[in-house]
Amino acid sequence: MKQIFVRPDRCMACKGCETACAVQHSADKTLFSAVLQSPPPMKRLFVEAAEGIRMPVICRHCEDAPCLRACISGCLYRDDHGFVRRRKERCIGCWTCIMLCPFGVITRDREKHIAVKCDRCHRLDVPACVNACPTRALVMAEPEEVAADRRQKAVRAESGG
Amino acid sequence: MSDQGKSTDSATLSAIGEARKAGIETVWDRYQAQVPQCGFGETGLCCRHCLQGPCRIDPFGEGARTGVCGADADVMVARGLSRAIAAGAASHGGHAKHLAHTLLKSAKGEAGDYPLKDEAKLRAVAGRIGIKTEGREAREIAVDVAEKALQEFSEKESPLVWAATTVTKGRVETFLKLGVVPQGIDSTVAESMHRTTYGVDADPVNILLGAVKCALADYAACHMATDIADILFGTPQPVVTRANLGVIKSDSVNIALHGHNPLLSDIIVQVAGEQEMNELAVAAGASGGINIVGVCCTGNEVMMRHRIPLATSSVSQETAILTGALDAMVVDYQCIMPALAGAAECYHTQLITTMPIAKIPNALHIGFSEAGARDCAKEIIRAATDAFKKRDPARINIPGISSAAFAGFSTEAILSALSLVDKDDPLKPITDNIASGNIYGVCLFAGCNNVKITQDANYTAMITELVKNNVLILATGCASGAFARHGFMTPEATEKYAGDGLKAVLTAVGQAAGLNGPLPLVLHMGSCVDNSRAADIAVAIADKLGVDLNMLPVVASAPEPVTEKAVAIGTWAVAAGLPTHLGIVPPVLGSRTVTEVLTSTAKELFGGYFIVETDPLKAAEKLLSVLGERRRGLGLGS
Amino acid sequence: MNYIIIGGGIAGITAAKAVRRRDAQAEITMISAEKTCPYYRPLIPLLIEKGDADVTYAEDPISEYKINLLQDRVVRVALQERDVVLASGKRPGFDKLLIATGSRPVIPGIEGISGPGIYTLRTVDDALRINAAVQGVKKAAVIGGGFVGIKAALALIRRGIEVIIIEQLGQILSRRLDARGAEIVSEALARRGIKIMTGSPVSRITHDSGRITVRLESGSTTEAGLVVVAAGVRPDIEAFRDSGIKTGRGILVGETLETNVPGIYAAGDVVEFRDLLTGRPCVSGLWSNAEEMGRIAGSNMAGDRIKFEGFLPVMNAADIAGIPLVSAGIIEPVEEGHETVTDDRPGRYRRLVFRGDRLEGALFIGDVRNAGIYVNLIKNRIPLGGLKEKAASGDLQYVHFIKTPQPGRLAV
Repeated sequence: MKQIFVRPDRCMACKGCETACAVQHSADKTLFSAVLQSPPPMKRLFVEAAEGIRMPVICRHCEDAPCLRACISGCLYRDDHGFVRRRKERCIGCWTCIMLCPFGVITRDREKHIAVKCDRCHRLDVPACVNACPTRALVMAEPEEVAADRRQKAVRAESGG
Repeated sequence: MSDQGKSTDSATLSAIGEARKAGIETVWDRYQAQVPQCGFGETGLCCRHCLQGPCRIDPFGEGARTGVCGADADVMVARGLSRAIAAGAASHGGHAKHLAHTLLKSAKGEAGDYPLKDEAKLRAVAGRIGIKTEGREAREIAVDVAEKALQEFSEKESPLVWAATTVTKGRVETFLKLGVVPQGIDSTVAESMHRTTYGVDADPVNILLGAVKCALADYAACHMATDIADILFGTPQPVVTRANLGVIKSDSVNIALHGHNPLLSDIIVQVAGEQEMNELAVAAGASGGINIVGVCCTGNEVMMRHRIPLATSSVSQETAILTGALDAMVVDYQCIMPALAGAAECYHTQLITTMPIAKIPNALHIGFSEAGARDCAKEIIRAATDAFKKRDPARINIPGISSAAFAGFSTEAILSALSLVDKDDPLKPITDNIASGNIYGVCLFAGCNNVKITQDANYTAMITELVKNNVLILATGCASGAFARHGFMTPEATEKYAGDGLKAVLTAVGQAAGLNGPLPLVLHMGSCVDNSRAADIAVAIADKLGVDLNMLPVVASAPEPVTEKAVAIGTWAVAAGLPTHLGIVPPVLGSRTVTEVLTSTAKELFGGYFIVETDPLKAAEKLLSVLGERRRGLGLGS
Repeated sequence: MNYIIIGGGIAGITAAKAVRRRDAQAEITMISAEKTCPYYRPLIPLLIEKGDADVTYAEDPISEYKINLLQDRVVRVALQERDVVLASGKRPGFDKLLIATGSRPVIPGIEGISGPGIYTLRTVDDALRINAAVQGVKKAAVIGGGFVGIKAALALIRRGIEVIIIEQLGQILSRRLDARGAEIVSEALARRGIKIMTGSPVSRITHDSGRITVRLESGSTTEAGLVVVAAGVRPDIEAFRDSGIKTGRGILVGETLETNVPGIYAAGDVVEFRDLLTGRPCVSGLWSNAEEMGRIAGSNMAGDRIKFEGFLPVMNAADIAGIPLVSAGIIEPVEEGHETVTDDRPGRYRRLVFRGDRLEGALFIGDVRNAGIYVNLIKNRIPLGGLKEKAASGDLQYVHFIKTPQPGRLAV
């Protein structure tokens, strides 16, 4: 199955992915109504920067997801596609998932008092963030393709090509 | 960001600590909230000039290579830069025009609060721009000067007088040859907007030449602003004052003057000195009376003409409010962060806007007019006194830190000091010492403090390197704010940091001027429009040596720039032939062509070019090597 | 293969799932003394707060994982016979046994501490009993200012009952919070109307026709119609004490969570094992640790050899009276050699405790964004390298671990 891959060397930190994510999780799913929505819709991924690198940090939907394992109320579950999603009505806002997510991609919805996280845009073929990225720093690919691409690059680098 | 990464100034750091404790957001917090900033904006690769956009170009080549209209990276970057320069020129133009209108009213007797304070300057300016002065009343001359000034804004059939008469002949020829001579200040700004709008100029080099023309209009506006401010308020002479937050006094009604134009601030200073106002403050409980302090370039204007101390400048402007003892912050225009309103709301401080084009919600607006300037000043002082009564003594936290600052070295003041060394040929001490190597070269520091750089770090690192190597330092605008805070604008700094040659020259001039010691290490030439004063000095030296500006061992540096005005000034400095350093990478790297034109082709065209270097020590090294190159070009030892 | 799991809490359920994933043929029997089983134990305060709430699993693991559930009480384990003696007299045999009995409330030896109107809050039944008793009660006292006590107090005050928390130590949530943190949380509780008395133990409780009087050693007294004793928990090891399975404060286990008796494992609150940071034996009492132990024990029972490194006895997330907080590791160091960095500003308090190149404690109050990054550093004992200053500033993000020499388990 195709997964989201991040290519940090291409990220311009334009935050188009953040905006698209928030829009996708807004009531009308259009930019202009999303910016007027109150309380505003929340993004589920975060463009972060450190010395010499900037990149969107996204939920991995970890195989052994600490958030899911530690959910004390039966809110988080793994859906049929393997995405870690929420049963929103079950979240009690205990923030245990936030405490255990090593990527820092779960946040609080202060209005609704529930945890907010990536749902991989499970209704869309291509997630909104990937679709919005103007430099293809976020791409959908089969893990094998990416591995092959990396190998090729490594060979080229070593052979000086 | 750790606090140490925010500023090198201990008073500013103290105020930042106070803000954090109180949960008050400052510029550094807001910057943090922006990080990472958009790479398209950073590289100049986004365009919003038409409604088919916004367009972005993928610098990595996988995505879009042109905008919807077909504009490629070169065009997009050139257009963006051109518009920044146009905005800078519009700002200086607005500033100058405002002064020109006032000069006209003053000359016609319609602005009683604005006498013609410096008649000698009036006559000198009039003479330079071709207005007859002999046997004429000052007021008559002033009407002509003002009218000629106002004519400079719309498109004429001839070059801008304020540009053509203030540069070397060689420059005028170069500008004519390249077709970059502006014929109107506002008209050139309009032309820049026109040629960069949807579907006009698509030749990146042609756009850049248009931008240079606009930058030269900016230069004319700066020069005009300096000239008229001197005529109305007096040409600055050296003064000694203090700088940094410690100049705010707990026992006084503290009023900060912030912005750029001396039109209202100068009057406020005059009125604040009057008995009636002082009594008002004392009656309100301020035993120290009224204490006026400066911020940014308005601060520079009143510092050099009235010895008003400088509280803070540029990026740290909010810190004045964070002392808890600032009763009013009076602003005119430019570089005034809207965030001041938020900071003021956390305290008793009254933020007062004064200009019709620069209002801030939640600030008190006291509209300024030339006809009622004194009344306006009084109303402002009364509002400050009212605010003083609401001051919470428990929240006062004035960092007890300030440095002495020698300010007010206008071109005229420098020449008159030099004439005490050599009455017949005042420039000789300078040219001789440049020739001998006692003065290795001259560096003009200008610009701002940029939140991306630890405040003042680039200034202090660069100046110590340069003066050690005998480079004479001129400073304007918030560059001088940085030097003043750190004690570089003092004779003591000369003793401590200057190389032997430079120290000898500054001491000789200082002794001759009766200072009983050297001149300060930095010669403070005024506000940012007063970069024109530095240009005058350079032109005078060039004329004296019989060479053009592009030969002189003179460089400029904006180590921590912020504004579009700084981009415009930097560009005219380059056009004037000066190698010009920038400590911040401007948003042009998305275009190889534009980057190359700015940093290399410009050298062939104008002699000046941009040196972009974010490491201050490397920057100083590069400037020294450029000065060496120029010295060798003149046949001088390097 | 016959698996018996004693206890239907999170450790037992997770272990059963782990066994099933590896062994489709396994016969898995779960023995629980509780009528309701399984359920999300941390949710039981909702039964008091709302009067009614669904605390059961969203997807029933008993049917999904084909577990035989036996409502019964374990009397003892017979090692020779390899069976379990139940209160009903039944003696189911096992090939592999998991002890996941959890813990039970500590009842301090105070005169008058048992009797009508005095409750603990550990099980669904406990919560239902309290819920049934709140009618007509005007005032309640909660003995103990730990998480259970605070949650009980918040639930009761939602029911319109005046509540006082009595904490014998100088602050609530000791070990979880430092003094400043406790102050912030106490203020939030006070805003909800909860009174807190700290610094004096209860000396005696007297009963007078339904009215209960709690007397403190300081001399002050509190009257209450209802008392919740929330003085902590201890491992529930009564049934195993003389069985030949080694016990201390809890059941002693090795790194595979096997006890000294081959084939018998333990997981969850009942276990006594090493503190990840100090290496000293301790008991956990935390849901997430129990979940992890259950998963490892179940896997190992079914043939894996996964090592359990230990746990952090403090690793809590909560939302107390609208204030989010995360507390993990060592918050108040008692030993030398720790550096503490605090950041106290309106709406946000952070305390970070470093020891050399490692983070050993993190307390986030008010703003828990990226708390997981910090907790992960503690839990996996990741050397900070050049990131210590960044960590101390509180601005550490995931991106900072990209391209660092020792990214530990944080790497992409």
